[in-house]
Amino acid sequence: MADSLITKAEQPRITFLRRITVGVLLIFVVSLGLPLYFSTTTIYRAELPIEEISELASGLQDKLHFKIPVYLDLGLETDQINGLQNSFNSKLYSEYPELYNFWSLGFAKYQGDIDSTVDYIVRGSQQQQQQGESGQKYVVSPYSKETTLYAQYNQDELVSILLEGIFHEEITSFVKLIRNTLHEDGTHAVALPYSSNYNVVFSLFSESGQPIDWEIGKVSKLFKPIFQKLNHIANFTISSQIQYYSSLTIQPTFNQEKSVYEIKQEDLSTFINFGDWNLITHEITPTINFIVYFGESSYRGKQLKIAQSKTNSFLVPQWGGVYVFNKDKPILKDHTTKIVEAELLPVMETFVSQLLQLIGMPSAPKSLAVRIDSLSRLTTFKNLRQSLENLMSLVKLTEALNEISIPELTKESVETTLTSIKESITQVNDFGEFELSVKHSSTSVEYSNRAFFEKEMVQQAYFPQEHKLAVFLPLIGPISSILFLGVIKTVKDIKGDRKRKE
Amino acid sequence: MRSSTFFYIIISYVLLGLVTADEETNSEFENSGFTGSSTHTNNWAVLVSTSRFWFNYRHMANVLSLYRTVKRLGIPDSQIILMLSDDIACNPRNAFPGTVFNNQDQAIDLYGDSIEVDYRGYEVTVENFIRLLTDRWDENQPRSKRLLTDENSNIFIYLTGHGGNEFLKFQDAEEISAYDIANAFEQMYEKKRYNEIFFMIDTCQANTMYEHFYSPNILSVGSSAIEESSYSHHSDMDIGVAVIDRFTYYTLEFLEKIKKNSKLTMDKLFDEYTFENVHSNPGIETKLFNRPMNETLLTDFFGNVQNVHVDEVEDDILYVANHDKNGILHDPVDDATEQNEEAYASTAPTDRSLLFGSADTEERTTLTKITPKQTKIFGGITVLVLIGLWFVGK
Repeated sequence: MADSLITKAEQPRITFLRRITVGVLLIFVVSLGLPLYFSTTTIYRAELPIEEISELASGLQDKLHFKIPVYLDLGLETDQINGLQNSFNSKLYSEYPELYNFWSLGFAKYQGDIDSTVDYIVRGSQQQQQQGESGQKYVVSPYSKETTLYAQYNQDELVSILLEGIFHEEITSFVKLIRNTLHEDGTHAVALPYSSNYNVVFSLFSESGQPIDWEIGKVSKLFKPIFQKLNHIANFTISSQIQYYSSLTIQPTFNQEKSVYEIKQEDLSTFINFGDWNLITHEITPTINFIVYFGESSYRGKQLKIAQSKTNSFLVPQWGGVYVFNKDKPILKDHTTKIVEAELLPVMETFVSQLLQLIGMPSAPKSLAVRIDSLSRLTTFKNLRQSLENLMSLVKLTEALNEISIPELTKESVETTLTSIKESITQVNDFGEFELSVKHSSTSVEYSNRAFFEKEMVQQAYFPQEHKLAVFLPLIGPISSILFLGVIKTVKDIKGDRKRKE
Repeated sequence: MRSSTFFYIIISYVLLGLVTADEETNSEFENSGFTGSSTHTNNWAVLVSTSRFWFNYRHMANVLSLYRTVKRLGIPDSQIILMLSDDIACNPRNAFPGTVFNNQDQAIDLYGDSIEVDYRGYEVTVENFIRLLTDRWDENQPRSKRLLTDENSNIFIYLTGHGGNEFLKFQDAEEISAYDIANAFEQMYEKKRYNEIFFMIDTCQANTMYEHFYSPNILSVGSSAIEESSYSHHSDMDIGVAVIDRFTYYTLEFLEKIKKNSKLTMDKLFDEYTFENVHSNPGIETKLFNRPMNETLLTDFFGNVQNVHVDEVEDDILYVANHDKNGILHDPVDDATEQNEEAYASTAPTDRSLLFGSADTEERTTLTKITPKQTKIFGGITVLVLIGLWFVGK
């Protein structure tokens, strides 16, 4: 009844208008609302250069070619040098096939302008009689990259001196890296993870509260030449502190025989009192700690010793070193105890040795120049591999988690990483600039970490599809239901009209 | 409904893929002799209480129990991330201000006198927790509030609060799902951010939270099975609320007996988790974990037992670095800086003579150069003028 009234009352113009309104609304919602909904709710995923990453990562070792120039001052002719090169290569690759096309030496004749602090030099000695005294066949100078031979050698002996003497540590480290067997023997990692900045903190922990002073300013300067030489690998910042009333949580036992207090070796693992000693630096860069512990028993003329230890010191892997210090002479009461430079020198010798272990320096030969050079090459390779691993993890992650966003910044960092990696490889292959290559590899690690740890990447990780729908339902529900019903009604109307016309 | 089934199907595919990938890595570990003692070098702890308000006293006591333990056993505060609302100890309703107890005998004040809360009050959010695990922060996020772990870190993660089937509520406002934590762990595994994780959770239906983990080397323990509550231990009449949950109460009771370098193993702790003690069915999940429980030390996660190397020292490195081959000492400091220091020392006294009775040694620049003589003249003139004015005024 009412229905027919309305249909009668409704003029064709109004029907037309109503249909137009529904149509416009439908077009509006579909053309504007839907894209808007999708554009605001879809997760932004930038396109990562996945192929490039996996290509680099799969064949990093084939792309790097370390070739270290060694200058021979042995009076050899060019063809003799070539013969030496061939026999060296064949011996190296037969013993370590992993290094094929990856690591080798390049022999050349010595010329006058070669600096032994920059390049490797092997020369024969004028004083061959020295050989008998020390029994050594050759000596690697501790101050430069120069090796002096104390006898005439044939090719094979020379090759084995180079392989098992000068470059042995570097070769075995590379092989272990490539085989991925660094800690196969159950040893713990000693070296800290790579960083381009480290804090080195010297702390004097005094068990008693009596005033104490140490000449740390003077002795810490001795570290500077080493830090300067390591400059291309990492920067080191030195600071020092003194803390009083630093009690131990372990109980040293009194050894009647030696009249000293002894700390058992098994107690050393909990020697550092993390609860009470303030070792927090609030620096964002990793810290290498060196602790000098000065026991209270020293004031009573009794020394504090680590049982069965010559140096009275120990190293904590990836953390730092500890030295239990004792005064040899009795201490005057009511005076500031002063630990002077001469007393600190053996302590610092211990610490510097520990420092080298903590930054992953090869342990031989004695020459720092050779070791730092080896460390540069090892660090380059490790860093490049690390940054590619980071990128691969990122790729794997973005493929596994469909709802994680990949912001533009991540993409940019990935691209910077790739550029630095390539630049580092070029420096190694084409120019033999190992110091520059470390710097580039360090940049690549930094940016690959940035790419992975990009702040934006977390935001929607815990925001699944259902939640999204739930959030928008109050808005979408009413609009779409009204529109849906309106469209159905209009369609029915139109159909009815057509039937009537027929 | 359909979309959610679809979602779960996708998740299970992803899980399947990753689990098969993990099996390969697991076998790698076994080949390299990974079983037996842990290869970690540092320990971290993440302790989270997700509840607020006075009536949730027990959750605060729970998390502080574990905080007390890991701190006592040697994990430094910089390596403990403590997230809690921290509104209990100084709550006006607390009859014993500044304290939190785990027992009505009040033997142990869990709040203690040195507690370092990293995320307090409204900072305890799902976002912060996920960011913490995945280390995705602003550049200026302080070190002490970050989980800066590496592949040699063992992490102990403890969560407590109000949970349900596959979720844990964060402060009445939001919730974290089991999948979120599982994915976060997978991200940590991918980035080599841990060696092993020990995940402990004390909530209702806690066991549902770890069932979706798929990354290797995670040991999980929960206080209650699905459809079960996690019960509180007892109420304190003076405080007026339940003070601690049963599961954590027995954990703390056991761990209080442990010393820093204890050799007790995990299975001894798990023996405490009986139905008689906890009144629910605690779950222990070892399928992702490589080592047997009777070889896993408690201190691998609760303590900080550092493997040390005694006497591995090489001599004369400093000597070599500071001397040349003729045995002459280099100047250890750059000549330039030394000279600068000297120059500063020589100019400093004249600078200081200008100061009027102030021992201020801060660096400063003089804007106008006036010699002491001039100042005296100016002073004299001013005094004369003032005296003249005084006469005129009279």
